Amino acid sequence: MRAADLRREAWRALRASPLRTLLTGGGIAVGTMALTLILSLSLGLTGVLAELVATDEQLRHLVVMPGFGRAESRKNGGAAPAVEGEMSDVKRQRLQRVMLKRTRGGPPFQVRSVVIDAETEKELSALPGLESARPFLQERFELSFPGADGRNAAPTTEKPQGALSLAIQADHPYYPGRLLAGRWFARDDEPGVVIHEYVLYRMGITSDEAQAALVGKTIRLTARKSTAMQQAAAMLGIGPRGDAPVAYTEDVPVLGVIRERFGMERANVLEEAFAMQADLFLATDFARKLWDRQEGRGGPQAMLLTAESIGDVESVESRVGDMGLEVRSIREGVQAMQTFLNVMTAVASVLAGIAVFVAALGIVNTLVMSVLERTKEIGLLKALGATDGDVARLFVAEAALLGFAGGAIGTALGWALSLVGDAIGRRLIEQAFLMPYEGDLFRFPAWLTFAGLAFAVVVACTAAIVPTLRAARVDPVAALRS
Amino acid sequence: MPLVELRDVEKRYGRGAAEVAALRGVTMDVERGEFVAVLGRSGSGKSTLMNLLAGLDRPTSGTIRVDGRDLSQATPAELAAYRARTIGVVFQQFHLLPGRTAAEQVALPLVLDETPPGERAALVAAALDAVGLSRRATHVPAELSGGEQQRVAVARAVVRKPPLLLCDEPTGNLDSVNAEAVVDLLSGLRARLGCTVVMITHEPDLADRVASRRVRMEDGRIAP
Repeated sequence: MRAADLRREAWRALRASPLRTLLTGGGIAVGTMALTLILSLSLGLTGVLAELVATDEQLRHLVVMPGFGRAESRKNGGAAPAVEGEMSDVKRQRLQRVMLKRTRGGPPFQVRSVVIDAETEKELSALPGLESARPFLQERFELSFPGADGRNAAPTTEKPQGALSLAIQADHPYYPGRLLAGRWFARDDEPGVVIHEYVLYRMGITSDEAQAALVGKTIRLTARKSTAMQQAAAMLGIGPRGDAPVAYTEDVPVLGVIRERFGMERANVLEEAFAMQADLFLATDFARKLWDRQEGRGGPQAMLLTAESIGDVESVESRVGDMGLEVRSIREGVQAMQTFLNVMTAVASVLAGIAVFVAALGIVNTLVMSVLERTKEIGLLKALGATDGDVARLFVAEAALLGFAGGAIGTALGWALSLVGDAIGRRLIEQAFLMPYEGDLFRFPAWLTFAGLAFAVVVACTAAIVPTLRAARVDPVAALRS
Repeated sequence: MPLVELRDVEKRYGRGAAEVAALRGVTMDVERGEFVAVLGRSGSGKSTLMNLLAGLDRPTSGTIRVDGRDLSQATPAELAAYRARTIGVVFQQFHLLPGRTAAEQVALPLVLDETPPGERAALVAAALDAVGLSRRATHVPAELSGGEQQRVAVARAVVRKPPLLLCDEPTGNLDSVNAEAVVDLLSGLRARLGCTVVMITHEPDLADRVASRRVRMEDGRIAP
């Protein structure tokens, strides 16, 4: 039988029982919809993870912070700490577990604290497999606009405004994109600040126009005497206090005004942990120059290391750990998230698979009924010259058509629901972060459309095997006599 | 050479004590162009003979040759091809498919035979014309009388112009007027198409009306 005739005959058979065809096709459509929707969500979330977090650049970063000197225990190959005294083995192991646990939580006994001093900084910078090592310098200043009379010229406050600064490099990939007015640093030693719109708001400078008018004006940075530890504490808003003696003041131009990062906007995830409280930004070398104006500061609060490749991250992490410093990367977090996504996708796919399986049973039922009802027709076709293969092809074509129609409707529904889900998800994100979100939570690439269709057709044809064999085996003599 | 040759054809159903012999050594020839009427009572083996000639069943022993082809040795695919090209079959119950027009019923063998779509319309029109139903081409079985339905079935059987037309009690479901009309139609088609007709019937009058030869079956054998 020609393909066109086969299609026509299959369509005629399906049309003969419209309700049954509708219900069976509906089952396939629901199954296909569920499957494509789940895959679409999984692709979307994996994509978000890959694009925002698990990028090559993000994964290459590590943050190093002062540590608790676990170098010794690491050098012992992570051996359990010694528990002295007479006791049972069970008790000794129990105490060892407690000691390990508490060591992770804070400074353990018999360990030394390791800060990032100049020597450590140099050592870190020289680690193999490292592309760059950049200090995180956070410093608390008091901001004021020196008027002609030397007094603060900010419109509504006489009192200088406290602000936390962060040093960022001139060639940063993301910060310049957040500028509201002015420009980003031209070079790393450029004197000047890029100031957050929020600190200007706190100073009573509220409108965009007023904030933009500040670009090019001079701002005064007043630093009070503090140690590195006090500056670190400044991150948490607990010092240094305004009653400490002034260490120095520095008048610099306002280069630009910057806004907060949107919820899902591209950023260096590790850096953002430090930048989220920053009120103003200084170019790295200029910030270092200011930092060094106070004696006894030691090294920076933290350092951002960038490995040459993702493959180098683990060895760098291990080496930094051996130095007794705290080191963090997003590698493990990303792996955990990816595993979670994979598990979620697998579980949801199994549930969707059950829906598809039920739909397949519907096809089996429909075709078995069809074979029973059309026994005489099958007998006639054979008497007129149809082979067993012709009869089998007829029923496979019927199933394939049912699968194709159900798959097409299911895929279309999946696509439509993915758009709805995307809109709802986006709104939820915007409500949670109060920022617009441009990414896709559901992704529906062209291959998913074809895969959904192909899957439905394959499932339908597979379900047709048993009824088809039954149809092909119909004895024409018995069928015509029935 | 005869168109149909049957030699010592036996057909048994069941096994052991339950075995039933439907045909017991049937030997007969049908010459080309003959109109053979096979008569006999119920259970005499007429329908079994018809199923064997139609290639729908195989003999337990003996040989059946139609147009030089040995049906007893043919593969299932060869039997299907034989049914498609060598024979046309007319059944007592018409066996028209519901919901299809007369033209679609007649076109069915052409669809199975993979006749190019462009050639089908002319063949169907000719077949319907041959049975006098040109004006009923677009009617479905529910809109046709019993006689018309059987004529559609006859058109379906002859649309490929087979050398052998097998008719299994074609008048069994018709009144006497329609029965005579159908056998006359079969007789006319034999003359017009030059085909051979083997017709099973239990009505001697109809057999006398059109058959060139009568064969009587009794208890699975050809009666002398």
